Amino acid sequence: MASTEGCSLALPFMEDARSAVDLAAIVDAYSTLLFRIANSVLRSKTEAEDVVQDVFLRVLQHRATLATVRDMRVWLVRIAWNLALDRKRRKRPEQLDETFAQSLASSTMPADAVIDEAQRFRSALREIERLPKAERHVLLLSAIEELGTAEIAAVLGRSESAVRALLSRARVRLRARLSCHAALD
Amino acid sequence: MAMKDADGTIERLLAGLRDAEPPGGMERRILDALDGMGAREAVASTSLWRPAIAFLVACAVILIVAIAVRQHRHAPSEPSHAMNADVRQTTRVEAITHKAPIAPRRRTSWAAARRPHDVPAARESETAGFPAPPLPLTEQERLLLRLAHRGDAGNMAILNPDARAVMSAKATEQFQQFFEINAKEMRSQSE
Repeated sequence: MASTEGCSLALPFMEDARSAVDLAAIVDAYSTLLFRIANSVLRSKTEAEDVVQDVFLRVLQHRATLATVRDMRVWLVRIAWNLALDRKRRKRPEQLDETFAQSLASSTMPADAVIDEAQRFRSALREIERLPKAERHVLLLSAIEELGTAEIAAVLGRSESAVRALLSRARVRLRARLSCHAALD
Repeated sequence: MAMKDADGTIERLLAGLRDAEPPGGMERRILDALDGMGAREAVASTSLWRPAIAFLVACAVILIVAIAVRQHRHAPSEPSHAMNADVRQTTRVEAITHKAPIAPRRRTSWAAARRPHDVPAARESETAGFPAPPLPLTEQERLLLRLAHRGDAGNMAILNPDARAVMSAKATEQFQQFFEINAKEMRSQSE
């Protein structure tokens, strides 16, 4: 799960195998990104925070081998992604979609439009869950602006072209299904 | 129109996911948790050594005590062993030659003698004035005893060197007398 393969970027403080790992700096640099990734999967801020903490616990446990990690960012994202997926298997996401959609709508829309917007978000979240797994994963990771196609490909263990194709298919499928829902309504 | 709405919903939803802000103080809480975990790991790594060290110390103490007790037990008992051996030899010879009834052998348990509360008693028994418990008899000793208990005077006499010498002298004398008599008779007959 926490594979260390892959990547081109290397952090300056990771160059020396024997140098002390500045955990505070890593937490500062990556905690928000990891939180967003976990939140996109789990749709719960509390659980996303737990996942981020678990990720850094892994870092602490593997601090002796951190020097072998070639791209800290991808490595951390992959751990967070897998931990979040593990957690998601233990719960039913639709339980949290209600409150998540509500909070998401209220943060972006005026109060009078919140109910309608929350309803649309719930539908969109339900349709995202119904997407094929590979498409769903690419769509959720692509939502995180900081992650490029190459990084998504590295996290999911796919080629960049496959990621682009999956993302395109996911958007088309999701749009079609939501349009169908809107037409029925 | 519906397609545009769908696109707009998807974009707003993904933007909401993208812009999600972590709860305030999350980094601080994570660092605190990691500090606690690091401290616990350090404690766990030292606590792994503690039982091993305690075990080694306990083993060393037991070994030292065992060696000390062994030396203490062996040091005073060595001279008395030789003395006891002499006493045993004399008592055994006496028992054989004087047809003394053999006392039933006492069972001495070493394990019992080694018990701490028996140590003074064992020490008393090892003093020179106290007869040592008899050792088990050898095969020859057992044969001699069987001979002595039968009470055959002729056989018993064999055991006494003086009596045996007298008997052999008598037999020699008788032999010589016999041949001397025979020689005289033969000489007289020939004449």
